[in-house]
Parts: sequence; structure tokens; C-alpha cells
Amino acid sequence: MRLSCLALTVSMWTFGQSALAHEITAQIDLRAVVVDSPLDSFTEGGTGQLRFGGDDDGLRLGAVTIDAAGEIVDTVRYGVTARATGDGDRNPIDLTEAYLEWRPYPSSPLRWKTRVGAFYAPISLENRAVGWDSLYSISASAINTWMGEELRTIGLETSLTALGATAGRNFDVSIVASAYGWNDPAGILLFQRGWGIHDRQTALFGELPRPLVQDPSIPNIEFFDEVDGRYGYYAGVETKISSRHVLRALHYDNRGDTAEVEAREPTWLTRFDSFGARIELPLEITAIAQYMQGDTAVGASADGRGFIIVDLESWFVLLSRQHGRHRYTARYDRMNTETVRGARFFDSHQDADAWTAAYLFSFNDHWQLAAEAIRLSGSLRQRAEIGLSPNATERLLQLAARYSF
Amino acid sequence: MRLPPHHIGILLLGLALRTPAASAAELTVRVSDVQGRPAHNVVVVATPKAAVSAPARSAPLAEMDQVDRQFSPYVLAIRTGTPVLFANNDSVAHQVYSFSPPKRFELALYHGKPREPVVFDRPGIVTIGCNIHDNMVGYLYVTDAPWFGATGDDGVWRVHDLPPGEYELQVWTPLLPPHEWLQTQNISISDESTRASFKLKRALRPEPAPIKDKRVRDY
Ligand SMILES: [Cu+2]
Repeated sequence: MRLSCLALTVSMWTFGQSALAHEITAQIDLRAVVVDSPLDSFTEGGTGQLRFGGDDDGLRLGAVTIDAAGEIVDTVRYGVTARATGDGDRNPIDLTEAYLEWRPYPSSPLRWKTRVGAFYAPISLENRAVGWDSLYSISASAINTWMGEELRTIGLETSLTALGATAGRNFDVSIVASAYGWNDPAGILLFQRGWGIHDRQTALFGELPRPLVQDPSIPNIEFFDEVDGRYGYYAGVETKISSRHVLRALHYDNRGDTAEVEAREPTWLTRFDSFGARIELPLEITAIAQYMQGDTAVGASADGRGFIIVDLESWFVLLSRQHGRHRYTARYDRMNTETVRGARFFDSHQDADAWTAAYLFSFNDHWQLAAEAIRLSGSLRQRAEIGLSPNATERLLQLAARYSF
Repeated sequence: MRLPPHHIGILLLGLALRTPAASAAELTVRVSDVQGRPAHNVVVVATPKAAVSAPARSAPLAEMDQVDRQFSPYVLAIRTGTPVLFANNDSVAHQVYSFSPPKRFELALYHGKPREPVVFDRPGIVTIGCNIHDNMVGYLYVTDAPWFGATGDDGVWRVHDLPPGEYELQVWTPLLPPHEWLQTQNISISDESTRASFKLKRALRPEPAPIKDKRVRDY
């Protein structure tokens, strides 16, 4: 956390230095929301997996995003994003990313990049817009929604890219590796509420109400915390073809010490493999598919693997077409969690899927209108713990007006 | 824009040489891909086999723009010694660089016009990149030959002032696998207009796409 504060301080200081090398974007996103759901949203402590629940009809704040990026010296840049979501989080506006990036000029076909601070791991192929919003819809897929909820790299990431252009190849190949801390609670929300689909990102100092409260004295989850003193890592490869198509694979392991339970949040051992492809087709059609498979575990066990282990798996396929200032998107998400050890103490089990259809209209460089319909349907066994039916279908229609400058 | 005095001299010389020589022929080169579609942005170079009265031409200042986070044109052919201005027409800053052996350079982050053009004083292929946007790729084809250019959208490159004689024609594009970048053929130029054509062995790869949507932030 200290690193991100440092990055913010440094970047605030550099604002005064030169207008030329800084790009500041602010965006306001206002929503009209119609919900058809028997559940309260997880944002209110419910087990609903969308951002808005049964009684949330009406006008809502989507987000206020302030994004700043620029250079500190010639090859060192910063990126800072702050966001307000207007749903009673601890801080009305809070940082979602803050980092420094060192990009020395390549002196050979090997290019090297290093980031330090708090930022997103290179997993999402949807969240490409200002403030890590999806370019294709309002709400991200289940996989990338979870990225925004519980995963943040707070540490160091370095990548090496073999640039193909000089050798006449039309593709670049990169390897990326990272070491990070402050990610020990990652997995708790997935464990309790299952996968969700929305656009809310947890801020670095943000909290969410617990869907299943065990200890009333700590009703909220605090996400980015260091408990066990062990750093986690991820390592991945990426190929970019003709600056268009992207293929990615990444292995993530937060190396959590499951025996470490004497803290506000016990340590979760979360590991997964992630694969993704984004292909640009003719007629300005984009196809994206991602797959994630892994597990999260908590509690002491003789083998160190955890007292309760939950397998997690999700995939989605997205098709989107840009047609002038219009964009049409359709996506299908599949979401599963299954408790494979300790189910008699707590059985986390989700089996659900979701359809999302979105239409985005870019009026000009400042105004964008977005409409989105989501139908998320399936079972979440945990709901039985609080006397609800495990099966539910949530439907959401939201209209967003976005102004950025 | 401030030009060093010798560049102004070159500019004037360039203008003076516009008038065609007494006996000059027109050459039309047509380049198509494997399916017969016109291949554009392909560099064409005509090198005389024996000494001809080639004009001591040197090109004036050339420009390679940056539009929508991509270089424009994608491929630029220039005469050895030509200064090139890497103008930035985007609202975002770029850091243009090259590590190609004929010319290594780095231009610090800038908007609009950079302070100085870059002089390409050795022939060869120079790959241009941007240190901020890894998707940006451009090529400079730097040649000693007096006659060169790139094909237009119709796949055609035309030259009007070739003295009669034997020539080697060469086409070059980075949109083929590297062992097929270059193709050559010999051609004899008489006083009349001459046509030549190249058929590439396969379809060209797509050029790196510009990023027109200003909302896109992942580079
Ligand atoms: Cu650039």
C-alpha cells in the first residue's frame, strides 16, 4: 500500500512540471437501472451476483473515474486511476491503480518493461478502456469481474518482449513475471458469493459487505492485505500478431499460507491458470475467449493445502462488432465453483451461466451512451445457509450515459 | 521550421532537376499479390546496371507522420542522406526510436513536430518503433538508387525520367515472410514507355492497424 501512496505523491508533484507529457482523463458514468431479481446485490451484503439487486431500480452512479498518466523522466511513466462508485464504500473516492512504469528504449529486438506499484495483471482481454473499463460492454465477463474485485498486483512486474518487426516476423512474443504482496484475502468473495458479472472495481483501500457474516464485529471484507508475509507470483506468455490478435497464458499463485488464520481475513491460497485469445475478424468484428481454472483454499491442514479447498472454473466467449460509431456485443459466461475438500464444514458450490448483450454508441470523443442487458441464472448452494433458495435468475437492464474530458 | 543551410541547397537542387532529361523514358511498374490484387505500399527501386547520367538528386525533407497511434505511411522509401521529420498528429505523445544498424536513434516524448529531423545517412532497412505504443511499427527503406518510390492503392509506381539502358528492378515489402521481402528482375529501357509487373508469391500480411478509438488504453 505504501508504494501506491508514493506513486500518487510523485505523480501529483509532476503535474506541475509540464502539461505536455501528462494526459488526464475524467469520466462520469450515470445509470438508469431496471432489475428483476429475488436477491440483494453483493454490494449490499446480498448473494446477488450483479451490481444491482432487487430493489435498486432507478438512477444510480455508475462511476466517476479520474485517470492520469504521463512521464516523470524520459523512460519512466506513471499511471494513477481513482474511482468513486457511490455505494457507501469506506472512502467515497479511492485508488484502483497507481504505478510507475520503466520502459527503457529498446537497443535490440528485446524490449524490457517493468512496473512497480498497484495494477492489474495482464489477464483481461476486455478491460482496455480508461479506468480499466471494458471496451465492449458495461459489465465485464465473470473472469474479469473477479479480477476487478479481488486481484491486484501490489508489487513488481517485469516483462521481456521479442519484437518481431526487425526480423520480418509479424508477431511479438512476451514473457511476463511478477512478485507481489497484499493479496492474501483473494478468493474469499468467490468462495462466499461465487462468480459475478458487473463493472465495479474494488479500490485499493476499499471494502465490501460480507455475503455470509460469521462474526458481526467485522461485517466487511478488506481485500488488499498482507497477512502471512509471503509474496505471491505470476508468470505468463503473450503473443501479438500483426498488432491485432492477442494470445495469452498465465499462471497465478499467491502462495498464501493457509495456516495463517489469526487476522481480520484469514489467508487464502489462490492459484489458477488463465488462457485468453482476442482475434480481430473482418467487418470490424472482435472475438474474445478466456478460460480460467484453479482453486482457492483456507484453513490449516496437515499437508498445507488448506482445510477447505474450492475449485474454480469459468470461461466466456464474446463477439463484438464496431459499425461506425455503434458497437454491438454479445457474450456468454459459464461459472462454476465446487468444494473438493472440507465440504461438510462449508460447501461452496456455484453452477451458473449468463448472457450479456450490449450496445454502445459513441456520440463524439466526449459522450458515450451504453445499454446492456444481463441474464444470470443458476444455483449457489451458499444461499441455503441464509435460508434462501439456491436457484435464482437475475435480470438487469442498464442504460449508461458517459461523459469524459 | 529551421533547416541547416546545406538542406536548403538540396531543396533548390531538387527543384532544378524536375525538368526531364532530353531522352528519358517512362516506366510503369505494377505489383500484385498472388491473387492478382494490387499490392500497395510496396517499395520499387530502379538501379542502372551501367553508369547512366543519373541526376545527382537528393530528396528534400521527408515526413513520416504518427496518426491514430500508427506510423503513416507504413513504409517510406528515401534516398540516402535524406532528413526525415517524424511529425506527431496525435493528441497523445510518442517516443520514436530505431535500433536498426543503418540508423539508431531515439526521440524523447513529444507532441506535434519534433525539434530536429533525423538524417538517414546509410542505405538499408530501418525499422521504426514507439517506446510507448508497442503496436506502432513503420519502415524506412533507405537507398542509394536514384529512382525509387512506393506503389499507390492501385499497386502502381511510375517514373518519368529514366535514361535508356539496362536496369535492375527491385520490389520490397515487409508484409511477406523475410526471405520473400525482395524480388528483382532485369529490364531494358528504350525511348518508349516501358511496363513491368511483379506478382508476389502470396497474399500480403495486413499492415499494423491504427487505433482510432481514443478510449483504448492498453498498448
Ligand atoms: Cu506512440
